[in-house]
Amino acid sequence: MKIARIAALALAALGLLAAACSSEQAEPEALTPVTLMLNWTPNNHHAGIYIAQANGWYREAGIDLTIVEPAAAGADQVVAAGGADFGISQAESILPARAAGAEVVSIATLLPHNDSSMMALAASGITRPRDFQGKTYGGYGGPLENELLDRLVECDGGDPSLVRRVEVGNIDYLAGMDQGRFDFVWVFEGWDALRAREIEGRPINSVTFIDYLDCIPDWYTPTIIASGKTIAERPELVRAFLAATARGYQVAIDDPEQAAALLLQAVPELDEALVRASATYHASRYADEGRPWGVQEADVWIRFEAFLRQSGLLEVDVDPATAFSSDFLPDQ
Amino acid sequence: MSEAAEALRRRSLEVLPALAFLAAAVAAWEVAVRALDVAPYLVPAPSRVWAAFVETRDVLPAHLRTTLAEALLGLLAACVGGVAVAAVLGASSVLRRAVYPLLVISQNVPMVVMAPLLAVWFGFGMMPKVLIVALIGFFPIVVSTLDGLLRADRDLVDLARSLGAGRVQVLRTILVPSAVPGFFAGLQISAAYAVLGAVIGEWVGASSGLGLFISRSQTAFRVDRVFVAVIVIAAVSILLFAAVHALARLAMPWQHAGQGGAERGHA
Repeated sequence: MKIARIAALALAALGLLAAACSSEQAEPEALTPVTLMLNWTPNNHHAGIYIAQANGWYREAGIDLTIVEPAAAGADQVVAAGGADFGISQAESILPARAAGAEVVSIATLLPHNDSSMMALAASGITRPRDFQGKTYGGYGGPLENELLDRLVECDGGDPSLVRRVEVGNIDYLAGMDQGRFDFVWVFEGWDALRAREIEGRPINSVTFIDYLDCIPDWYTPTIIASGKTIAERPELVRAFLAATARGYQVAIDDPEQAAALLLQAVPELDEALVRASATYHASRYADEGRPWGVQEADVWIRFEAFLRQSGLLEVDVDPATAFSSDFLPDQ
Repeated sequence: MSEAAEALRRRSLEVLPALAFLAAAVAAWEVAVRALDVAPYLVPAPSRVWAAFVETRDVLPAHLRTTLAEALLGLLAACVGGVAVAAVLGASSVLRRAVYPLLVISQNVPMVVMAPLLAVWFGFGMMPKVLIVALIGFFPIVVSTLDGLLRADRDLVDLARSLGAGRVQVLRTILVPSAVPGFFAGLQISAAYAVLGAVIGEWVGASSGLGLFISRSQTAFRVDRVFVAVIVIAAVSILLFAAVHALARLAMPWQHAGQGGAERGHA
């Protein structure tokens, strides 16, 4: 009696669960399941991907795309190990990953230039790198950021040893600066600095990396990566994926309002005002004037690889030519 | 008044202190945040958390569905695996001595370490999350089901045998009833951790789920939404715990016959 009742309940539970599971698998067979792992929470850097997804352009290309949000260790290992077909990464982790034997290749850059900056409250008086002297940098604790700080300050006629540095991890940078825990942080201009300036209405100053290319190199961040294996064995898939993605970014360039709407539709948790402001900010920045989206220059990779090696951040030489490829982008 | 109404009245009196304490704590929290003018990105007031809940009420159900499905599937797997292993270990003392220490060791592998590995092995679908819930839930079920099995009165088994009872009959009338209370005690512990297990799994990489919602809220520095997620996780865990409790009452009416407050003893 009781056993029968338990069994009946268990069966009912099983039925419910089976229903819950099978509803996820009702996909047409012809599509190739493809996984893309992001580098961070979805934001306007990823707009073209969400646009292409919303418009069904991946499906048209025979791709059933699942977008997965980030693993703790980043996308490089996952993509190299075949756990995801594509990922979003950045040059500063692609080169070390390759040095460590993880064969990931950058196949398209989401932005042609590094949009990073060092951001400070305007009240700090920081307007250029030498102002970092005597101030505290709130960082993630990586060797790259120390090297960048040293070069920036030195290049601007300052003494890098006078910059204090604390590791703060992923905390609210505005909160940290308000509370005097640190004076400046490394952010993306088109997301974090935009949030502070336009959404929170805070007076802030930023030292943008792109203004100091005499001191530090430019590099590609974020970029789309695939494993060497995927590129060698499934070049058609890589081409089809990038063609649909490039189409999405063209919309992001031409129609920021639609881009923001589709990104918000896919990820409704995002701050609407920030996504809209960021869409406008990025529309002219996804590609250089007169250049197609996604294209990477060998020179940029060569200079950045040399910078990492000279600063001791790469112990093994990595051939920059193997770290990227523009061959899979659609013909213009 | 009917007996049912009387039972209901007694029940409400029982939960009254807990509710009153909760209400007082929430009120104190609200007053403290306002009086000390604490910034919302440090500690959000309950009213702000409520506003965040209202704001995200359209988004939350889909995430909750994913996490709940992972938790329930994982629990089911833990039950099936746990009971099977308990049955095998209950039948053989050699196996018991061989495997039991391994079970204890397995319970000490931190899930935050296992989660990324499971994701690499099984991808980013439901599978790795279900496995984490199952791995967390498996141990309490094995241990307490086995404990229940071993508590079965040996003399009673011998007596039944000598009176001509078959294996199946002994199993049904003596061993199973002896193991069922242990099984449910273990399942209750597993149920309390199931949602958390699914959230840990989602942390590593997911397309939907409460863990993903928390991570999205964190990168936007929305502490109020993180609190919403924590409260939802706690509420669902309590419901799951209560559901197992109710299931246990249904399955073991003899444990509760005529004594309203008895369940407090082993909850």
